[in-house]
Amino acid sequence: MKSGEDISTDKQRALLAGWQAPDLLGIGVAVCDASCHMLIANQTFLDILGTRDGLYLNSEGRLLETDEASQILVDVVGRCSHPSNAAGMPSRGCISVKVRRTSGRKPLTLLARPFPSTTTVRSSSMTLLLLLDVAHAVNEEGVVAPLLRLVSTSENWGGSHNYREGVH
Amino acid sequence: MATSKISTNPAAPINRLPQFSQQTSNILAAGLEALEMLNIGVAVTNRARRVLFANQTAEQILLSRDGLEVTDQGVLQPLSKWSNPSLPRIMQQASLAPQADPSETKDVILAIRRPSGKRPFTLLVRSLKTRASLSDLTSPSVLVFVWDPELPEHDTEAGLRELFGFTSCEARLANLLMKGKSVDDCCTDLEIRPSTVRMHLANLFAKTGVQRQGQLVSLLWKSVGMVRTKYDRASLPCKTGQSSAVTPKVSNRTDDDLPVRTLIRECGF
Repeated sequence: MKSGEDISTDKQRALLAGWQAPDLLGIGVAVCDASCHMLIANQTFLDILGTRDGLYLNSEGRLLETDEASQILVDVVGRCSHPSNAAGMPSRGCISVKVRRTSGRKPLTLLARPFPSTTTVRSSSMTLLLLLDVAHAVNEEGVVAPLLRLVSTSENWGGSHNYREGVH
Repeated sequence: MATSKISTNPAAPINRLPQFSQQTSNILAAGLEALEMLNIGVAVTNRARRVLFANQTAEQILLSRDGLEVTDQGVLQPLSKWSNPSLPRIMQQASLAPQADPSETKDVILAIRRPSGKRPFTLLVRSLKTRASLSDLTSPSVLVFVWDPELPEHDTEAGLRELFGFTSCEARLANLLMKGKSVDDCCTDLEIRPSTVRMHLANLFAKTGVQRQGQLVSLLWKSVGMVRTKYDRASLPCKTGQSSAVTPKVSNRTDDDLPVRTLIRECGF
């Protein structure tokens, strides 16, 4: 058994290592408070915000939608921050919504859930956000593409006499 | 409010750590909670191939002992040489890669055959960006992604209908395609004719704006397939546990022994 100090260091390292995986999968991860102030985010999330196409960060560090008329983000964060008062908040799971992009590109997929999830009574009201850019996924050659390549879907389809590449 | 950022830049190696406050550690644990929501298994090992943590999907795969296992010493390895004898060597090479060239991280992909006869696991092994010394065997050094093509689906149809406006039948077809089913399989499973499947496929292309099946599957996975929209909180243990330097054999473990749970619990959750 290690000393307590060693274990603590390992835990810290593991915490940081855990943040590299979502980036490699192209998944944006962030935590915000009940007022949509962003507390932490990974690089992918920041990259998506940097495009200012769907979501952006204002000078006060607050997450906002580029579509000013939309209240989706505020609504979702509100439901996660006060799940006991909100209708429609799944008891187990997360909320998934589309965030419209002003460029007209495919909408961002936003998944949100209360954070932390493993306590029954939360002292704070934070929201864990996962952000997926599906338009980016089509041409991406990150970790996902090589993983999927070995699933052999294309091989199966190609071998089928009912399959033809392209739009039918 | 200032925005914190977890850099994945090699210039900010994970081994040079400040002493985090409890609150910072709590927020950092969000990264691990995010991993728990993935349908892709993610594990972090140290240089000695010992599993430091694994997300829920990875643990399900390891618990099945169907091609992969964790030894009594907590070491990730193929169940037998038949599954894939090269995994230990590849992981060792990956753990040394950052020292050889920190700017170059090469992924290695391999298939792990399964005694059950199910389709093989796909593993992607990647070096973590770290500047730990070679003598530091305990430092996190390798990320392992595990893809199970036969993983039970997690109610993605509702998400697909909501995101892309698929009909129920289109969503069911999309779900099957994401699982790697052939068109013939889809016809059988959905009990519809090939011409009907082709019509639904064309609708899927039109609604997602893609032109090839590969693009479609990639897009579907990236949109909802990678994430569990239903999170089984009940599977998380509640009792307080202590982390151990030696991870018990997975097949004999209870949930309370699982490293990621321990990690999150010890961070105050």
